[in-house]
This record gives sequence, C-alpha cells and structure tokens, in this order.
Amino acid sequence: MPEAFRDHLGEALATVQRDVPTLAAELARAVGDRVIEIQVDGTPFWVGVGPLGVELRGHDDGCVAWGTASGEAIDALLNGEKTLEEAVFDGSVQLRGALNDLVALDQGLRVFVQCAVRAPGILPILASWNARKKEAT
Amino acid sequence: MNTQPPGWLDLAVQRTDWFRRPPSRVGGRPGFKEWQHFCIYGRDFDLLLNLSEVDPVATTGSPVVRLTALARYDRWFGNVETIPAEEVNIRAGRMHAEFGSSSIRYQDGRYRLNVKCRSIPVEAELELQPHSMPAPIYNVMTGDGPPIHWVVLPRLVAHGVVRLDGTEHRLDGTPAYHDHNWGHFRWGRDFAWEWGFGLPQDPANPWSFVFARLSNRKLTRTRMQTLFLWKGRRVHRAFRDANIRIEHHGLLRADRVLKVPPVMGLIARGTATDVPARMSIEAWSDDTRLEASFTPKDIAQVVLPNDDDFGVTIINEVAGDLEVRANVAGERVELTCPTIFEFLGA
Repeated sequence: MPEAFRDHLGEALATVQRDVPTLAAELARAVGDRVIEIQVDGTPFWVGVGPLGVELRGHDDGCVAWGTASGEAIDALLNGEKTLEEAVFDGSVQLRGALNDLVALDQGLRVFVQCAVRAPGILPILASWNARKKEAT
Repeated sequence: MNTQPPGWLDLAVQRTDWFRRPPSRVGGRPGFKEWQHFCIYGRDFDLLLNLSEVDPVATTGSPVVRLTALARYDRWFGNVETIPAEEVNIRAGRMHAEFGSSSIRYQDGRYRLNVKCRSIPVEAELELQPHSMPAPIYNVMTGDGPPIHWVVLPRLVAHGVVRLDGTEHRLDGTPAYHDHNWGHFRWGRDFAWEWGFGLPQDPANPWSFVFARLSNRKLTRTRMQTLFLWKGRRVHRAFRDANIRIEHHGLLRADRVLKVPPVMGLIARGTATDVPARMSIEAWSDDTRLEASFTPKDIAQVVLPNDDDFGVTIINEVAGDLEVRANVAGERVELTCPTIFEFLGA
C-alpha cells in the first residue's frame, strides 16, 4: 500500500476510472485542460487530465492553481473535524490561482468525492491512508 | 422488569418484521434498499442505530451493508461504517443479521441488538421488547418510482448496556422505537418524507404516537400522510390524508450540523437546512381532536449520493421535544417527550 498522500491520490484516481468510468469522465470535464500543483507535507505533485482521465503528472510549469496542506489538515477534512471553508480561513489549507481556476478546482474536488463515494475500490485506499496515522502513533 | 410479551404480539412481530433482502442477489431487479432503524432514549442520551443493505449506486456488484450510529448527549456525534461483505450474514425471511462486530436478531419475544462500532466509541448490548403492535404500511407510492414499504413498532422497552464515548449506561426499561423500511426507490427522485414518533418516559402513560408524510421533492404536494395513536399495545386511532394538517413554522438555523459520513461534508456544505424551527400537527375524526408540536434542537445529516445524478439526498435526523395533546372520545391524552424526527430532502 502507498504511504504518501500523492500515492494514495494516484491510486484513488485510477480506482474511480476503473470503478465508475462514466462518472470519472465528469471529473475530467471539471478539471478541463488545467494543471494543478498540490503540495502535501512539503511534497509537490501535479494533477491534470491525461489520455485515461484525471491523473498524476510529472513536474509541470504550466500550473494554473496551487493547493497546499498537511496530511493532518486533510485528515481533519476527511473526518469532518473541519469544513473546507474553516480550513481555508485558518490557513491549514491554502489555495492560489485565478478565481475561475479555483472554482474549477473546487468543482473538481466535489466531482472527485462524488465519484469516490460510488467507487467500491476506494474503501481500502481510505483505510490505508487512515492506517498510516495509527502506525505513526 | 423484562417479561415475555403476549403470544399474539410475538407472532405479529415475527410475521411482519423480517429481512426481505435485495432480489439482485439471485438475479432479480437491482436498486433495492432495506434498513432496520432503532432509537433508544436513555435518561441523558439518545442513540440511533440503523443497519442498511442497499444495492450499490452507479456500479453493479454485491449489495453494500452499512451501520449508521448517531448518539448524543447535548450534541450529535456518529458515523456511517461500511461492513466488508465477508463479514455479513443476513438471513432472508427472519430477523437475523450478523455484520462486522455487530448483530441483530429477534428471538424469544425480543430483539437482541449488539453493536460495536469500529470508528467511533459507540457500543450497545440490548434486549428490546416490543410493547406495541407493529403497524405494517405497504405499497406507499413515492411518485415517479416503485413503492416503499414500512413496518413500525413505536414502543419497545430496552434492557442492557450502552457505552458512549467512554461512559457506560445501564438500561432497565428504557423507551425505544423501531421501524423497518424496504423497497426499490431511488435516492434523488421526486420524493421527500418526514416522520416522527413520541413515546413517553413514564411507562404508566399508555400513549404512543407516530406520524409520516410523503411529498414531492419540492415539498409542494403531499402524496400521503398518516398518523397513528397507540393506547397500550394496540393502535387506538389512525388518521389519514385529509384528516391531518402539518405545518412548518420558520427555519431552524443551527450553528453546527453533524454530517455523516464525514467526507460528504466536502459536498454538502454549510449549516442551512429546510428543517423547520417548529412543526405543528393537527388530526381529527368524529370523536378525536389531536394537536402536536415538535421543536427541533440539534441536527445530524446522513448524506447519501443520489442514484441517478451527482446530487445528494440528505436525511436530517433531528433531536427535539414533542408535545402531544388530544381528546379521544372524551379521554384526555398528554404526551411530552424528547424524540427524533426525520426530514428527508435535497
């Protein structure tokens, strides 16, 4: 199982392509031709639409939106301890970009969650992400 | 005291309340949903437990079994847990299910409910003895889809142990409620519902109350409404449609709304809901006049992905206070109790 958030997200994107391909096409539509740089716990990675849909990409200088968070901040969102708005306001999640690109990023997040909750293969990935926390303590 | 219910009541429960199970398991129609719903009212806590088995949304495959647990002292906490298929054993035609570390069965005149949540500190080891006749309500039309079916037992008595957030509660005659729903309805279609119940803390008070209303999604057209008043074990009065008036007054604005599963809070954001600040219900017949008022206090939302689109269906589980006053053929009815009403909508 993967360890870093990047690897979990990569697996999750591949899983929604496999389990709910029709819905995953909506995710690709939401992201469009944008490339997004995400940085979790200091490690940057890039997300964009490839031949199979939304996927992790190699380093890309053409990003239009940036998101930065810690693994802890992502846990707080997934566990409902904090809303996305609260995380943005307290700075634990930072988003940068032009307004229309941030709106697309937000729409992409919503569609991704909609895909993920319908994809049976997501549960083990989520369990693996949560397990890293237990291992750390 | 935990006593044996009369044979006729035991038989009525056995004949109405059993797992139907998804026909898709044997090549039948997909899109089935079924759940067993229990509410327990301790002196200082509420506990809602719901075991569901549903055909998956947007994919084919085996039905998915989930346990929803919501508990509250002054605020709701809870979660929805998906039970791995290899840990599920549900027997069709009986009230018998083992799921993860939990189980439900009906045996020797009582429900035996053992729940051990894996993600939150909620455990229960309970015997729930029916004290009222079940009311089966079959073939309720939901508008543009197949009908929904419902069996309700408004009044049970709970004995056992509940552990919530590290605190153990011993129950000895605590009031409890149970219902069971099933059908092929699809989340997100043109229907909404609201229902609620009232059962007294004082066991000497013989009255129990249940109402339900099904409407279109916009809440502009009522398709069915019903209200039952039990006296002791039997339904004493039943009201339908034109003999019931339900009104919403204002809108409840909470500073916090629990959303489960928590990840759905990333989609269904904010605290605005269409739950009323107060709800009034009137019902009447030739010899009866009933007035009820429900005042919500705290909301938990179970957020479900729609079956046919990217929307969500929100089930608002609303803790609050109920007052029922009625005159039934000259007999005065008074019922004041904490309760949980449910409001389903977009």
